[in-house]
Amino acid sequence: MRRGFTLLECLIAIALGVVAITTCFAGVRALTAAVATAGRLSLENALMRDAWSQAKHDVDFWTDLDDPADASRQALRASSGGIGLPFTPMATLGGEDAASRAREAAWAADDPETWSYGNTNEFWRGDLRFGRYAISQNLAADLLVEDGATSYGQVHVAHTWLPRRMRLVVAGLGFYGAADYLPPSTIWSWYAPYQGAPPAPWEAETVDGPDGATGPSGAPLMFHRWQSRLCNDDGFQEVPRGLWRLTMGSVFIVADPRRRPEPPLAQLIDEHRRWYRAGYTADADAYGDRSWRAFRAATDQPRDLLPLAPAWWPRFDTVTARFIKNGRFVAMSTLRWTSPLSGETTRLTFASLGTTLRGARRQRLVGGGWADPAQEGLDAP
Amino acid sequence: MRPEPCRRGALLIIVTGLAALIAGLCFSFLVRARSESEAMAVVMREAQARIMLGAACAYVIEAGRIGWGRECYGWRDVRDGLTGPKPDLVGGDIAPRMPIGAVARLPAHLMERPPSAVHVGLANPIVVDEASPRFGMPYLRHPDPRPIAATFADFRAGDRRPLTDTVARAWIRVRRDDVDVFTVTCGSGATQGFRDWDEVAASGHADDYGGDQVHFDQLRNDEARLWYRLQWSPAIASPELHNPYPVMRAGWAPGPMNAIHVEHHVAFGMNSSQAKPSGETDCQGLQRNMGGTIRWIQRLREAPAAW
Repeated sequence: MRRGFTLLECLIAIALGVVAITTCFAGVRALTAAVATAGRLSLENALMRDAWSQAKHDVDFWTDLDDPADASRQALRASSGGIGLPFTPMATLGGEDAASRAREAAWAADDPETWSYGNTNEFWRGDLRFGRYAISQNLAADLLVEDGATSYGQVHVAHTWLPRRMRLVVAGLGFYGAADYLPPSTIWSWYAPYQGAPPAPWEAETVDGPDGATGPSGAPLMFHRWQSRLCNDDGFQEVPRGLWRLTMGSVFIVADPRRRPEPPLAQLIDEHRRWYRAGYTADADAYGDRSWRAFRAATDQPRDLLPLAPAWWPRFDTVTARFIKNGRFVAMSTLRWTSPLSGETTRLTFASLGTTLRGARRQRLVGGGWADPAQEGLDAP
Repeated sequence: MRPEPCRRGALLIIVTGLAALIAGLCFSFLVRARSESEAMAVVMREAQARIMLGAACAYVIEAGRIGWGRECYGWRDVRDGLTGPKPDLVGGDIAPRMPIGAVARLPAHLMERPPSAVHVGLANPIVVDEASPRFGMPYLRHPDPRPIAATFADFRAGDRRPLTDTVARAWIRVRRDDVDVFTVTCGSGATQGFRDWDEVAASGHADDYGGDQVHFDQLRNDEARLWYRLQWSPAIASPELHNPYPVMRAGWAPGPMNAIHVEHHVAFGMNSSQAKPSGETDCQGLQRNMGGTIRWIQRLREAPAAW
C-alpha cells in the first residue's frame, strides 16, 4: 500500500521547489544578461575591428577622399584654369615634356637643374644688396629684369626647370600636394618677371597667388611675406621658408570633398591654398580659434561605419584627417562609437604611416579605376 | 527512508538539465571567446605588419649610405647621379652594393648582442652626495661610451644569434626595382620573409621548418603580408632659416641687429626652442637625417609579380 505525503512534507517540498525555481530563474536571468552583455561586447569588438580596418584602408588607399570606382566621388580631381586639387590629373595641368618628366622622376642631387639658386634670405621688399638672383633662376627664360625703380636689362636665364616645376605643383595641386611632390629640402620660392607690389599697406594684403605681385627681386610675395596665403603669421618672418617653417604653428590640409554641405569647387580650391591654425597659434586666448575650427570642419567629418545598422547596435564612425604639421605628413584616424544604452561616446585616435598622396595618385587611373603598380596613374602625361 | 524512484528520476532530470544548460553556456562562451581571439589575431597580425613599414623605410634610408663596409652616397649617388650605393667615383669601387633586382630578406628579431653594442647605463653619473668633494661634478672618469665586448673585433662583430622570444614575429623584404624605387613587403609571422617553399629550399633553410613544406605553407597562410612600393630621395629636412633678424621688430634683437628691414644672414636655427637670442646659433637647424627621405609610398592592392 502506497503511503501519501503528509501536509508537512508537501509544504516543505513546495517551499524547496519555489526556492529551486527562483534560484534557477535568477540564474537564467543572470546568464541571459551575461550572454547579452557578451554579445554586445562581441558586437562592439567586431565593429571596432571593422572600424580600425576601415581607417587603415583609408590610410592606404585614400578612398575616403577619392574613390576610383565611383566617378561621383572624385571631386578632388577637378580643376579650373590650371588651378587644380590634390587628385587633379597631371595631364590636365599639362605642359611637361618628356625630358622634364624624366628629370622630375630622378630629381638627382647632382643635377644642377634641381638646385636652388635663390637667396634664402631674400627679404620681400629688400634693396637687393646681395644681388639679383632673378638672373640665375627664373620662371621666364628671357626677361627684362627690373625692380620698379631700376632696370638691369634683358637677360637669358640659364635655369628655369625648378621654378617651373614648383609652379606646376603649387598651382596645380595646392599647398599639401606641392609639399608632397617637392623634396623636403625645398626652399619655397622662385623668381619671376617683376610685377610690382601693391601700394596698399602690406599688412592688409593677405591673399596672394603664386602669379601675383612680386617684390623688387621678382619673388612672388606669397612666398616671402608674413601672413600671406602661404606663410603663417608666426614670427614676422618675411623671407622664404621651408616646409618645417611653413607648418610650424599651422597646417596645410587635404580637404574632405564629401562633407555636408558639399563644398563647391571654388571653396575646395581655396581650402587647399591657405594655412590653418594648429598648435599654439590656435590658442583661443592668443589668436582665436576660428581658423582651427575651419581646419577641423574641412578634415574631421566622420562617416557612419554602418549607416543601416539596427538602432540597438553601437554607432560607429571613422574619419582620417590628412595634414602637414611641423613638416610632418600626418594621417590622423579617429574611431568614435556611441553606446546605444548610455549614449556615452568613446574616441580612439591614432596616426599611421601609409600611402602618401603621390602614392595614392599612382594608384588611380585618369579615367577611373585602379592602376597597375608600374603605371603612373594620375601622373601620366 | 529512501525516496521513491520517480522522485529520484525527477531530481536527476532537473540536475541534468541545469548542468546541460551551464555546460551549453560555457561551451558557447568558450567558442565565442575563441572566435573573438581569432578575429583579433587577424587585426594584430595586420597591425604588426603595418608597423614593419616604418622599419622598411628606415632600412631603405640607411642602407643607401651605411652597412656596406664603407660609406656610400645614396641609392642614386648624390655625387654623380649613377646607381649606388657605392663608395667611390669612376675609377674606384663603383659596383652597386645591392643591384637592381636584388632582394634583401630581413627577419626582425633582437640579437643577443648587436654589433657595436654599448652599455646603456651612465658611465659618468653626476655625483649627488653633497658630502663628496666631487659633488655635482660630471667628471669624465670612465670611458664613455662603454663597449660591451672585451675586444674590438668582438665589439664590431657582435653576437647575432636571435633572442628566442623575439623570433618569428615580423619581417620585411626589400626588392630593388629601379635605381631608387623599391617594393617592400611587410610581414608578421614565422616565414621570416621567405616568399615560398622553393625559395626556402633553394636558400638552404629547409631545416628551419623541419624540412616540412606543409608546415611552412601553414605558417605562410597564417601571416599577414602587405606590399608597398616606395621611392627614396636624397633630400633631407628643410635647411631653412627661422625668424631672421631683419624682420624682427625693434627690441627683439640685440645690438646692431636691432634694426628693421635690413638684410643680413644671422638667423635662429631651425628649432628656435633651442636657440638663444644672443646670436650664438646662427646656424641652420639641427639636422640629424643624413640618409635621405622617402619620396612616396604606394600600397599595392595585391602581390606584385616580383617582390
